[in-house]
Amino acid sequence: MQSVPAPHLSGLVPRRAGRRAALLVVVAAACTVALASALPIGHEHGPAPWAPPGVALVGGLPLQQARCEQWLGASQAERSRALNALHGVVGGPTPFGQATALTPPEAERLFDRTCSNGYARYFLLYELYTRASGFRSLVDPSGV
Amino acid sequence: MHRWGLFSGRGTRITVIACTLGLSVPAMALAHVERTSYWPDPRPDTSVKPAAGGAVPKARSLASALNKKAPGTTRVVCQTGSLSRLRHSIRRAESAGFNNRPTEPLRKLRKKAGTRLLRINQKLYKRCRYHLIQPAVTASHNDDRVVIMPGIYTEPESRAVPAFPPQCEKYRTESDHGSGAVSYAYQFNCPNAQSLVAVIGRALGPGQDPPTSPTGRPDPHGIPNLGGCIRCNMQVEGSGVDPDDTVIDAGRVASGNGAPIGSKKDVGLKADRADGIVIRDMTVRHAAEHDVYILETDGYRMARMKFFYAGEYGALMFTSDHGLTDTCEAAGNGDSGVYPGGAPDTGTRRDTHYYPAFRLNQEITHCDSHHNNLGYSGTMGNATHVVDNNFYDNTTGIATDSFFAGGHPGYPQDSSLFERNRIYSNNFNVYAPGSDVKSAVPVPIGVGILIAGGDDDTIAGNDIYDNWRRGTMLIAVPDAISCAPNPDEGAPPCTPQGAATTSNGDRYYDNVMSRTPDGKPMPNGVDFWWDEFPSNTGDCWFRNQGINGTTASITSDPPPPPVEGTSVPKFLPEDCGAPGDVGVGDARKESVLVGCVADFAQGDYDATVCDWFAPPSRPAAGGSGGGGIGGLSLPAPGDKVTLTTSLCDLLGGEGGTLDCSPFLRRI
Repeated sequence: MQSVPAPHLSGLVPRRAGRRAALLVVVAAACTVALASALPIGHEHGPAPWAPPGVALVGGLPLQQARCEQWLGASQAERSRALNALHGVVGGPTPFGQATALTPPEAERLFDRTCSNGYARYFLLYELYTRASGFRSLVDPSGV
Repeated sequence: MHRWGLFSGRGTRITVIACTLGLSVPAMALAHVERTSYWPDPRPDTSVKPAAGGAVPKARSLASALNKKAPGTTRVVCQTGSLSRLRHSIRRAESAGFNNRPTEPLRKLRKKAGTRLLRINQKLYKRCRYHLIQPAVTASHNDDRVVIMPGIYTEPESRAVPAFPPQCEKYRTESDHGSGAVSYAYQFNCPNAQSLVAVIGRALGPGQDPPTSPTGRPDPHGIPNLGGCIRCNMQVEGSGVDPDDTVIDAGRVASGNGAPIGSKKDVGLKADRADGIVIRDMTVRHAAEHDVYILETDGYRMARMKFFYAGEYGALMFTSDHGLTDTCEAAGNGDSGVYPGGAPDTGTRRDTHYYPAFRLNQEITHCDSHHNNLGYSGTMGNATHVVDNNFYDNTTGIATDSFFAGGHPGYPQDSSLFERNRIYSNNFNVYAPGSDVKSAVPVPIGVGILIAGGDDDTIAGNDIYDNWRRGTMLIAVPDAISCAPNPDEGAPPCTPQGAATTSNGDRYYDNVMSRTPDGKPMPNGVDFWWDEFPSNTGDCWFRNQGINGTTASITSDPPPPPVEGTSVPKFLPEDCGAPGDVGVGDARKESVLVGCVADFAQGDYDATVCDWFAPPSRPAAGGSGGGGIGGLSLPAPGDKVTLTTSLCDLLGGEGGTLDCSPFLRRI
């Protein structure tokens, strides 16, 4: 059910204005229907949106929502931008020093390996990144 | 249709032009980098009367919305079918009963109460001047109320606002979360870029926000450049019988309370610096990120709410204080049902100048959080009080952690109290093909409570049963802040205040494990599991009951100490603070944890070491360690284990809780 106007709104405005309002409501409803049918359900299948400078998109989604499925479909340029952004985002300050962050090559390996698993399809990239960062020193440095 | 002139010449032109404009709106981009956030001043703001914040606000009765002498103005939002929807709901509640959450017994609405509720709504309906919620909120001021009558509200005008309005780009800022953050000024000027409904509680401050960047931020105590109250002490509420009657839908309406979510907005309902807000009696669903998002708010109350199928959190309460979430249901959320994150450091690690006394700053109670990736989570969820809830049928019931040290104030997580909850049957395989919930965060299937890097947390008096992997898990997060030597140039040594290690001082007591509240045995895979991280101290488990009601029947890894009440290295500590209450490390456990949370090296370990994402088999009575994949079960306790490969040995498969299930198909 879509939102509809209050039934007695027309009683609160002049009759002609009420008709215009009603017309506009119908137009709006028609547009809503048209938009609903034209736009994809959910964002996962939508075209790459316009994004302002400074917003790193991965497969069409910003980092806040980018998941493994976006990583697998991302261009190398998008991946590089996301990796650098994550390094800055996650490696923020704490009262005790800088937060640990993976280097871009480490993070790229993390995403390539983890995202190849079916169960990881919807994991958020930044969540994977923060967890891996928390256990960084326990990983064999020869692999880094 | 023709009657309305839609297809007459002028009408057609209007339609085509309007639709063309609408279709030219970019498809939803749906996301943001959050601004640097601060903990609000915990003292009440006395610049408004009544004062805002400083305590959990009281809710005003629905009937009082009709009292014109009561403080504030009431704005009513309704739909054509609001009253008929209400009548139907009242009839159902009178005949079949109603409840606010699944575990609440159905109770019938008395005729007299139903009649009174209908009359109140009929009067509200006469005062209805809005059919969209956002305009009613925008028109509101301090102490005002927005009453939303029964209906499903999709807010088409908010949906039509693009996610990145070009005219709003000038309000982006740098933040400790990265460049391009959306500032408070952005929210103030463009409230619907991200949110379907936004309650912006304060004016812009008179000065400049302090500089911040990914490498430095101001102290989080107190919001700098805070403007005055413009929508403090607001109440936004549904007017139906129960939360199902008034629905705010940020996505695909046809999905009902389920999937697919088809999100059109990041957030369903956002309260930003909205001190003293009351939100109640509604369902919010299908947001790409969070159904309800309360940010930098001192004093909030959410009551009788439902949060369904958000991409991340059902309810996110971030850097907020004096909060209460009472009576709710959260289901289908990709990260967690409820999330009080970045909470004020009012616990053992508090700044006593700012928070003189230890205080639990937010309470969650009487909630059913089920069929989510996580029932509850809280990165830096400090000093929260989680009491008398039900967490069931999630992949993991409760998790609190210290992973995002650079992005959430309050590292490390500490001082939360989880008491008198029922945490059971958290075995939902969110990773299965066809799952209706999309897991946003890797968590193990079959765990009741997971603490990943938390200090001074208390888990007391809970019923924890039928979690097939582990009842509880305690692991350290060793590297959340940088430690020298580090490849990152300029990384400091991680020595200040010993904060480099987490998971100290956590206490588990008076819990009933592997038994239902009525005494039926329903074992966890193992009741208590601790990674024994080197140097962790003060963690202890005592006075807990196992499957047969005795302390001796507790199952744990490491095992209980040889003498009850003592703490001996390599055994589960029971004497808090004793010299022997210290982790000495277990390389096999850490290898699994690395495999599960840090699988990025191309070293010589097998990436399939982690079995968190395979459903454990139902444990036999007494606990089996929760092993097996799909229909394959590991041998019962006491059976001779014959799975011996080098990898299985590495994992400590024989007799331990680290099972060999990842290798069953290859042995």
